[in-house]
Amino acid sequence: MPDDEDPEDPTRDMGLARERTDLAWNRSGLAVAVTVAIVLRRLWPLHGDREGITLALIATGAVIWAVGMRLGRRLRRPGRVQGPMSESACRMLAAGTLVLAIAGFVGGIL
Amino acid sequence: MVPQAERTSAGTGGTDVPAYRERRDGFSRLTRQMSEDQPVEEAEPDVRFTYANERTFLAWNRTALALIATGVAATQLLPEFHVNGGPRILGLPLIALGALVALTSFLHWKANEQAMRRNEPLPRSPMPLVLSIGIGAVAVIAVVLALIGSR
Repeated sequence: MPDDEDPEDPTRDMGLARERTDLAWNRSGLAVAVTVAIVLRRLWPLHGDREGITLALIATGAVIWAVGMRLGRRLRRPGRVQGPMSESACRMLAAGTLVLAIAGFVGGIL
Repeated sequence: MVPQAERTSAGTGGTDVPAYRERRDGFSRLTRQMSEDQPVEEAEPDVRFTYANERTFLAWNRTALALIATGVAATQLLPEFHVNGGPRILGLPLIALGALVALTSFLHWKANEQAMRRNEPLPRSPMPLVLSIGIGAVAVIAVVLALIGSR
């Protein structure tokens, strides 16, 4: 049970949904790191404009993901009710993945 | 107690639309409701369902990332198979499929969130089928390339 939950609270999260969701976010972060590493491997050493564009896309995707994850973590703080605000976090993660896909596509046709 | 899917069908005012058709057409139902002027009652869903929706969204996103990583790895590591651009024929569709999965994961998360707020049946997604067909098609291409390459 997470430290911030009151054991007397009848509505406490017995299914550990928040903990499982936190772990899912962590796994997703790892998946992004692996994907970025694989796409980067193709680029190194850098030479030419296309590699530069791909690198810029990878950096953009990674930054969008990092910001989205930070936003999601802030929204899932204890005591904070999830609302429409989490839409912005999900939108950022999807956009980050999309940018990484474009980077992979550009990297793939180099 | 009447099942939720049947209630939805009855609520549209026609008995000629089967409940399963109503469920299948989740995205268009959502669009139709958004265009209606009458206000729709919304309530904060159980937070466990919100978390479950979020985990599903993250799982789809990881699937998208796995497709992208596999596609890029295919373009890097595979031999040419005696076919010009062989690795790209395999890798680029996987990356494109990853992009599609990433995009639809957000749309489906949003549609689920709205359905839960309105206490409606969850919309169905065509993506499991699209993903299966996409991966199956790439597998068939891989077999063909491998057979050509082995000659």
